[in-house]
Amino acid sequence: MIGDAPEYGPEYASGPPDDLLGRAVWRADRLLAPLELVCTLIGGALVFGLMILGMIQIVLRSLFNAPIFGYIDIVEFGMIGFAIFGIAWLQRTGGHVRMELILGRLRGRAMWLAEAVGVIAGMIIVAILIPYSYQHFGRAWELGDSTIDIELVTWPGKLAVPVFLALLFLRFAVQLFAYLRLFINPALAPVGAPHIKSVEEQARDEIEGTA
Amino acid sequence: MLGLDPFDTGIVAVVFLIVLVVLGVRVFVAAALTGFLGLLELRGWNVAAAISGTIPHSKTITYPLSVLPLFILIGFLAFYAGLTGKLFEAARRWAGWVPGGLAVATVFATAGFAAVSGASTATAAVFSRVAIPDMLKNGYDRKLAAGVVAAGGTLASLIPPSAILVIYAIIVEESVGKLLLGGFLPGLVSALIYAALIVGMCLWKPQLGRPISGFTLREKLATVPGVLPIFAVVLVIFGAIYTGTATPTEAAALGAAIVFAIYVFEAFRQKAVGEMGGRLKEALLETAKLTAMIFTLIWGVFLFVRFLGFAGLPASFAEWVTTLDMPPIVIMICILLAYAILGMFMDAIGMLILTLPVVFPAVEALGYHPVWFGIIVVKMAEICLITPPIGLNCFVVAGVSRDLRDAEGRSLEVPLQDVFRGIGPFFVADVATVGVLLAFPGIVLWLPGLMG
Repeated sequence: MIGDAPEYGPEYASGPPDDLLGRAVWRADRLLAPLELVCTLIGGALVFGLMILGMIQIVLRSLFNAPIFGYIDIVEFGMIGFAIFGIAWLQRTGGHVRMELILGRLRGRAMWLAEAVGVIAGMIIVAILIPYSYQHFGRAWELGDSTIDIELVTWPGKLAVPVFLALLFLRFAVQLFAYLRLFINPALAPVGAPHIKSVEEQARDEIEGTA
Repeated sequence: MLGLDPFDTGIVAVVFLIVLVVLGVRVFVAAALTGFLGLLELRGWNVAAAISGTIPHSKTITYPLSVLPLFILIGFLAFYAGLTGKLFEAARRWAGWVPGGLAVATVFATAGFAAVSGASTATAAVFSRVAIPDMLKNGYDRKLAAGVVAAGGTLASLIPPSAILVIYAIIVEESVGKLLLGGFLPGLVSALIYAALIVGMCLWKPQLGRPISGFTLREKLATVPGVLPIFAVVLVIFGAIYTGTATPTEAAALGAAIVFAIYVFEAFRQKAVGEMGGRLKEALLETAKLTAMIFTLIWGVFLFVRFLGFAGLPASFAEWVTTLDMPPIVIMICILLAYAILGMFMDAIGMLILTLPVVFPAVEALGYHPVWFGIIVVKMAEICLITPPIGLNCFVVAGVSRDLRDAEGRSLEVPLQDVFRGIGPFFVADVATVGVLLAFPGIVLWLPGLMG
């Protein structure tokens, strides 16, 4: 359950906040987070699968001179998993790269407003990309597009793009309300709103990752 | 629309992008949004929408990029496989007899670990735990002990496997294999320069760190089996790339499998099989996160790059740079200084993906070799990891040392300002290394050149 697993972050060990908007954000986050985490873990499992596949490929080719037919097609088919499945979880944990030169100096309202603006920019481009990446999938579906070697269909990978961008859009939406709530009342405890990491915090993350 | 000509649109877009990035918008969002708006201005809604809808899939699902998650996985598994302690023990027995022997051993151990990891800060974190207590126990200077660990960590990005070099190769459309081979000698040269620096410092002031000697040949040889897997990984990855018998992805898969096997073996040996699953899950989760971060950046920036191409900006910039009334070397030094400043405020991978599409054509037009420039730029990004005000590696070393205790329970903390003071000589050594690579490009280009 959420709150028990350390991956979800410390703020989920405690219960929901008292204010209405805070509770809504808290609940929405708890709906999305397990799904996002599982998708990211599937991406990780696919990397492990890529390792196994590569080993089999080398063994089959060097010992039996019989490489896996369509190996590259299979790898490219699976790549979408680690390329995009984790995109929403990464946004939840504040993992997408950005520059914190100015953001790091802002405090209170100004900081939450800047965060909200960043989220709105993300929502705009993702909202544009969802329908048009879906069209890209639609063409592959209608034409029965497939890879050259083993005629693996390409539509599932192309469908994954709008699906996971939609998940990212939902995550952005939760964060927008989370930041606006704090913009309205900066005294509230943050919920569903990843903070800026100071260099010390970044360093602590790195240290924990290797403990 | 605004009705600007393509070049002006390009300039406006670049300014817009810089404003967004400086304001703290996620880089992939800033780049994709700017790219889309630029395409909209130049080609209209239908073309902009069609291109934008295709890029997230077409630009990420390409076979050469599939080596990235495997390199990242090798690094994470290597931390859990207990290789760091064995490497350090081997290095101290073999290299401990020189002045500053333990510090020199730390350099060689981090260089060895770099051969299974591409993560600088994480390498600095683990070696802080392994090497700092031993150095302090033997009366080494705190500043030297901390500085050598922070600096040694940076070797991970040059010595293959290195994720950042793969990313560079993909962006500038150069061979991944050549970039990886190209990083090897400069990584080794950096390590040797660090080692020479330590020996010099300790000859001049012996109290900084005394030699550790008295190991018999038998004791030295006893450490060899523990570090053999690392040589196996190096051999597999290099052998495959150099001879062309396997693709980098296949070689990386085999390398990851070797490290995974050691990890499982160690878990059984230490009777920690119960924790194995949880740790593997953690390694896979971290791998997936870092991979998704990089792939998202790649398609976001490629959307911007497609627009830049329409605007003709990289070509114009390259043309402008070549007409400057300055020797290419001066322009190159200016570019490197710009990277040094930018690198203080931004993650190295983000910085490279964002800037290379504009900078690289200019560098090529100046007549510099793509592989050589890649190595230099990565070295610059690494220097930023040990330079104030950010210098993440220094924060990591100071942070880890806070929890270190000696046998009597006394704190082994090295305060941050001491880490920064300790890193000083290594910073100078790094600048000297860049100078050496500028003067002798052959150090970078010799190995890739043999590949044909």
